Amino acid sequence: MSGKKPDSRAEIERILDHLAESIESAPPEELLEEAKKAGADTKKIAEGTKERLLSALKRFEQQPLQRARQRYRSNLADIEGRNQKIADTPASRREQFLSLLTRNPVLGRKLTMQHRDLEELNDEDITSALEELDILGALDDESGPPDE
Amino acid sequence: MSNRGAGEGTRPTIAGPEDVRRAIESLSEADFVKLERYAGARVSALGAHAGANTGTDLLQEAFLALLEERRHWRPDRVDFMGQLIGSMKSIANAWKRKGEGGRVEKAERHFRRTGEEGEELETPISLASDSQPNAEEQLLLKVSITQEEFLAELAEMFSDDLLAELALEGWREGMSGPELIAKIDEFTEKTFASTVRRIRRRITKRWPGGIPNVR
Repeated sequence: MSGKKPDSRAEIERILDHLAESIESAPPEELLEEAKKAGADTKKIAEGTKERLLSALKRFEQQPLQRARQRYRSNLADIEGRNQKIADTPASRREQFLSLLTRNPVLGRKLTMQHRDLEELNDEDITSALEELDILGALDDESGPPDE
Repeated sequence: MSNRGAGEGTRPTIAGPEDVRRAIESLSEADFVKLERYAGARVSALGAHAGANTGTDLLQEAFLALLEERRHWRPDRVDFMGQLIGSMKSIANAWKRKGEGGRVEKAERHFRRTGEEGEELETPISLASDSQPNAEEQLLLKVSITQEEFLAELAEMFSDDLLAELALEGWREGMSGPELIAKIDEFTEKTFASTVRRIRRRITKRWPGGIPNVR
């Protein structure tokens, strides 16, 4: 090397670029030998690199499964959230349902057309109707189920 | 081998996960060492443009690009090693361009996200935990030398090797191998190649864990 004062980063980058290129063109066995002579634990390096690649491959292959898990968890949270919006007892569910219809006359008219007499609806019908209304977002405006 | 993107009856060209797994299993110790050394050298050459990225990150990025088919691997055109090395080169160049534009590229692991239960979310890429620097890399991350120190080390390392000095000086000035061979009488293709090997060997011996950060 000359005694020239070291200057720009670009000069060093060029040297390092050439070094990288020399690694690129060198036979692997030659590089292995060099690394061994330099005292590097080549077996450990190779095992670590292989393990990381295989692990990355495994994770990549598991992505659809992870997506399904996320969807499942998300759906579960939705269902739990919905159940919290629906009252706990048949009487309070009926109260919640009728209150909802009172506040939504259009909805009430539609349901009356379907069921003629809303008073005849049993708890299963009401629960099911509340669940469907919740999916449609009709319970979102409510502060929650009526007090028990 | 999958034939994604290929029409019916055409020869499959793009490798799928099973091809990749077979390719990994077929690599030798020397191949893995080459990948690791090349990745480290490329990141060293990036200098500050590498940001917090390590050679491991670069290799993982290249591997991920292959899996996600952002960079297609066509085994009938290039082998697995060639694919990864070519991809690392290209990614490193992209990082450099971004760095020169004032942005430092961050490998996927730096964007790792976890869910409420601490599980790793599948995007952006779950390779993260495996691309954490190993103990040697962490040590290397802490080691950095100045540009002056690095060049002084090189000067001392090759003070007894005129051809190496000439090659390094030429590289610093931006000359290519063929240009050096054409311009310097002492260099033939053979002597230049052996000089480059000596340079590489001595540098490897001096820094077996990889060249430190030159700041």
